[in-house]
Amino acid sequence: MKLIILNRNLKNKADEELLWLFLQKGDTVFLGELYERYIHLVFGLCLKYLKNTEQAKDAVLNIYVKVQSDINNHNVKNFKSWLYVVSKNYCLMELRKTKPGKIISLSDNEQAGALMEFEPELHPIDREQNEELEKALEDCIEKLKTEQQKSIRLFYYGNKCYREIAEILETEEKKVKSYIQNAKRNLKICLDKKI
Amino acid sequence: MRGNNKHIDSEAFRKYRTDEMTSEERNAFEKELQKDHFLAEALEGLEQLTPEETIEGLKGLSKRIAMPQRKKRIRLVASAASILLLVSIGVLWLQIQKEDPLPKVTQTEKIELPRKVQEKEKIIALPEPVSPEIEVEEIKPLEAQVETEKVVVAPTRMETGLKVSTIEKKKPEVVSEVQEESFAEVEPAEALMGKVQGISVTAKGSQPIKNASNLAIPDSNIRIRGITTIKSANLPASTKTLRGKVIAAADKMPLPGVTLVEKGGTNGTVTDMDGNFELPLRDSNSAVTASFVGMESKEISPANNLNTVIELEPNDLALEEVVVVGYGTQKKSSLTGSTSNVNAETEPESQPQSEHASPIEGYKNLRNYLRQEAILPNDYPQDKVVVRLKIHLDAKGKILNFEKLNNAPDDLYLKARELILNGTGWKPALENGRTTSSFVTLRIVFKKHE
Repeated sequence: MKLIILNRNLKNKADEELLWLFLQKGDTVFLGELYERYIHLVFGLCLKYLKNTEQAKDAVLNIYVKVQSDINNHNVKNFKSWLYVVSKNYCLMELRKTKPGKIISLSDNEQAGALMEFEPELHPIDREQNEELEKALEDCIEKLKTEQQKSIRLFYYGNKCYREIAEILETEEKKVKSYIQNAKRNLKICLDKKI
Repeated sequence: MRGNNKHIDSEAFRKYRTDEMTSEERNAFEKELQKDHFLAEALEGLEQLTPEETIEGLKGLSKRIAMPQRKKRIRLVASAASILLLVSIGVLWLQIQKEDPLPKVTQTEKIELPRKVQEKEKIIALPEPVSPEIEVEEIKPLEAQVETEKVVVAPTRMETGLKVSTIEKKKPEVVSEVQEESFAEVEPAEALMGKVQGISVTAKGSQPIKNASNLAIPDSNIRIRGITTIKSANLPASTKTLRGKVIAAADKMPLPGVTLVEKGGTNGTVTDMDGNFELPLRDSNSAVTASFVGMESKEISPANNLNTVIELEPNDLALEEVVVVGYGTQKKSSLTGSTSNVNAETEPESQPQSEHASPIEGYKNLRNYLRQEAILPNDYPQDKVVVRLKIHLDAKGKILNFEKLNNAPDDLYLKARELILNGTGWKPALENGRTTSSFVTLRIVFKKHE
C-alpha cells in the first residue's frame, strides 16, 4: 500500500524511532513515513466529520502540515494517539468555521463513548487478562441484560464478529455494536464499585 | 491504544469491508476497533466511500504528501533559474540601452559583407593573372582598394561612387559580374535602393546603370537599417483604441457613467456626461462589456469596428412585487424589515379603471323609486307612457341638463325631469381612474295606479 519508495529499513522502524529521527534530523522523510502509516485513519476520521471527500482530502494534507509545525512544540510520546487528538481537533475547528457561532456538541451517545474510550486507560475487558479481574468481570457480566451479556460473551469469549452475533441474536449489526458498547459501560460501572 | 497494539493498515480496512476476512479475523479487527476509537471513527468515515474510492483517495494523498520535498527542490531550481534568466535579460537590456543599436547592426553587417566581396574579388582575381594584359594588372589593385573602401565607409557612398565610376571605364566586365550577384542578394531592399540609386544617378550623371548597381553592395548595409526601423514602428500600431457612445435603447439618450471593461482584465473606463468613451485596448480581439445599473449588460467585440454606438436595453429584472409571507408570530423588538398590517376585511378591492355613471343608490333603488312615483293620473287617456331621456352629468356627478329622446308628452317629460332631479344623486363616470363628464339615458315608464 505504501507508495513512497523508501528505504526498507524505514518501514520496519517503530513509530518512536521514526519520530526521534525526525526530531533529530528534521528530515520530513521520517515524518512522512510516520504519517503515511496512519493516513487512512486520518482520512477516515476527516470523512466522518466533514462528510465530503474533497474537504477530507484537503484536511488530511492540512493536518500533515499542522503536524509538521506542531510536533516540535509538544512532547509527543505516542504519535498515534497524539495524531488522533490533533486530527479530531482540526476537523472540529473546520466544522466550527463553517457554522460560525455554533458549537458542535456531541450527542449523548458519543459523549458516553468518549468517557469510556478516549481515556488512555483501557477498558478492563480490552486489557490483558488477570485472574482477580477475571472473576470480578465474570460476576458483572452475569448481571448484564441478556442481549448485552450474550453479545459480550460471543464477542470476547466466542471470538465471533458482529455479523455472526447479529445472526445468532437475529438482529442488526448496529444493534450488536450498541449492545457491546452499553455492556462495556455497565461493566465499567460495576467493576468500579467492586474495586 | 497502549500495549502491544498491532498496526492496522488500510489493507486490513479494505479486507474487512470487502469481506475478505474470516470471522475470526473480523472479530480480531472489531476488537481493535473496540480498543481504539481512532480506528472506529476512521472506519465510520471510510464507510462513506466505496473501498475502491478509498484506495484511490489514499493513493492520491500519499503522493501529495511525498511530493513536497521534491517540489521544494524543483521550486528552488526553478526560482534560481528564473532569477538567473531575469538577471541575464536585465544585463542584456542594459547593454543594448548603452549602445545605439543601429550602428551595432551595421557593424555586424559590415563584417559579413567584406568577406563576400573579398571572396568574389578572389574569384575574379584568379583569372586575371592568366590574362597577360598589363592594363588589367594596373587597374586591379585600384579596384580592390575601391571595393574595400566602399564597404568600410558605407555611408559615404557618394565619394566611392565617384571613384568607382572613374575606374569602371577601364574594367567594366568584372564590375558588372560582381554586381549582378550582389544584386540578387539585395533584391528585397528595392524600396531603399531606389533612393540610393537616385542619389548615385545625380552624382554620376553619365553612367547611371553601372553606378547604381555598383552601389548596391553598400546598399545592403542600409537595407537592414531600414527594415529594422520599419519593424519597430509596426509594433505599437497594433494596439487599438475603442471609441464610442453609449445610449439607452428606449429613448436614444446618452448614458453617463456606464462602465466599460475589457474582458479578462482590469482595463476599463466610464462614459462621460455625453455617453462618450475611449478605451485603449490591451488586446484588440478581446470583448468589451458595457454595464450600467438597471440596464442589461452588453458585450461587444471591438474587432469589427472601433467606433461604436452601444445601445443598452433596460433590465426588466427590476424590483418585483413584494410578496408578503407570514407564518407564525414574531416579537416587535426582534423584528427586522418593514411590515404593514393587512386586514382580511379591509383588503383593498380592485378598483375599476373605467366605469359608467350610475345612481349613487344603485339602479335597483332608482327603479323602485320611479315605479312608485311615475304614476299616471287615473283619467289619463293612455294606460302606459314611456319617456326616454338623456341626462348630462359633469365630472362631479352633477346633472347639467336633460334631453328628450322620444315624442312623449311634454307634461310627462317635465314630470320625469322633476322625478330625476328630486331623486338620487349620481356617481360620475370613471375613465382611466379619473372622473369625467358623461351622460345617461333613461327609460321611464308611466303607469296608472293599480
